[in-house]
Amino acid sequence: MKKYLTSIIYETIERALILKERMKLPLQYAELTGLANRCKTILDERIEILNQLLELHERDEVDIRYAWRSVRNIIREIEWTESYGIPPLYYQSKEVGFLNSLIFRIHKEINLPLEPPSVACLSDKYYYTALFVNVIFVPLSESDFILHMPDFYHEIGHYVSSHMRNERRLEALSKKYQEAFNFVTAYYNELLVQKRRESAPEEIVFLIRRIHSHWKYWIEEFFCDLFALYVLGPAFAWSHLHFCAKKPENVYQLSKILPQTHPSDEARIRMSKIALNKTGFNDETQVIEEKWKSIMVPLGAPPVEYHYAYATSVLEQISDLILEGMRASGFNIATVDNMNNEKQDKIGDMLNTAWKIFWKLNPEEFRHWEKQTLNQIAKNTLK
Amino acid sequence: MTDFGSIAARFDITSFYLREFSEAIHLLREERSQSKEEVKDSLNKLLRILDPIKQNLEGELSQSISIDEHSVTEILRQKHDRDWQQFKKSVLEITLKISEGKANFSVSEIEILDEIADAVDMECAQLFKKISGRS
Repeated sequence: MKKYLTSIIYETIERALILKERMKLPLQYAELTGLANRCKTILDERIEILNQLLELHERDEVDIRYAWRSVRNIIREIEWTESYGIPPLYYQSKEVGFLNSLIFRIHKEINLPLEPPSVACLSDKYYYTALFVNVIFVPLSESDFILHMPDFYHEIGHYVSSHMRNERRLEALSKKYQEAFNFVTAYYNELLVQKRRESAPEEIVFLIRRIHSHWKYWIEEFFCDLFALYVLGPAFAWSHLHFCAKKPENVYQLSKILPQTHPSDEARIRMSKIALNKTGFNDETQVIEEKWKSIMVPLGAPPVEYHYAYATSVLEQISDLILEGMRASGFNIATVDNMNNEKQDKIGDMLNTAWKIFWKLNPEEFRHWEKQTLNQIAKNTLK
Repeated sequence: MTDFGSIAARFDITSFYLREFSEAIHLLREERSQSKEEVKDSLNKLLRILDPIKQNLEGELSQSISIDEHSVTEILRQKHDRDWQQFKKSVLEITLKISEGKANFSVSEIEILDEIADAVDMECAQLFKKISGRS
């Protein structure tokens, strides 16, 4: 068994060294420097730990259970880096260059106190973020379309959320995030007490406990939506409506038994309206509401237990706390006033404008505008 | 954002707390001289995982966002199907001991902490399986 663990450690070190070779250096795009450094740091640190473990293991000076657990964790981390960190460095296409420069601009516009995350055009699942390496994955052709780009801001929200526990400049936001979840927990604890007092059936008690457990995922998703709404504005709500309209699912989703990672789309749009009203976008909120009602509401009806899951009072409180936290952490908040007064050369302004134009023009005209705009941005950002 | 991203985020958080927990057991087990502050820090790292499990075992809702205590408890319960009541009692006792700041652990107490670390490790592996498309 001793030799076996040694072999696994040795094999893992070799894999890490090969992965370092697969990073195509020198880089084609300067915006990928952060990712290259992150991957190098992750791999170097793991190699170092594995070498130390190897040495201690050879001398029988390490607890075997701890050693196995550490090795398994490192294997997962290296596999993660191989799957999500190295590919954008291996395939440095012009689309990757463009989107990374876009993210760089966004990070400056919103005053993100972290280095910008990276982007890879290799997703087969819409937008998602591989947090360990800080890469946002988008579909291959995403650089050619604008309307879903607001989802970048939601993904940056995940990046912020995962880094705020160790970042002093995000301490205020981190506290408000925890406060928001404390509020959720207190709400459900109170509900449990009330239901027990009313001698409610055990199924209801079970459901409330289940919903609270869903909230461990939902708080993160609501946070990311709010983050996007507060730094970008209505374009994020439009983008979400656009996503829902194309993939009609039950907008009142509530899983009573299995884990549910995302809150229902109805609750997310309700939260969007709450947030946008707080930053002054009342007119836009009304239009979003109308479109939502006409497109999505006919697609489903809420289950009877739905009101336990997404109480408006809880959503209100969370949106207040996150806005306070974001302001205290120095993010540039998009309000109706600053959007009307500032120069319109920001990526955020362009995304909001795109949605206004989308509703005004016919599809061909909009596509023409979209292509021209993207070409112009590419010219400016890839100089 | 897809389920993938959500589960990846959970994997990221759980891995972080597992690393802390595992390191803390390692340091406390080694009995090498540590300052009071270092011991306190290690005990706090243990509590970040033990507290939500304890609350779950006692039927309370936990405010913790560090781990999915339902999942980890379920992994432990399945492993200790035959001696669940006894194991549960031991977990509650050791959590109480740690929250009182005591750091002198017996072999059997370290064994319980190791079992919990292994359960969190298994939870990480399950999350990783989901995001690697192998489930």
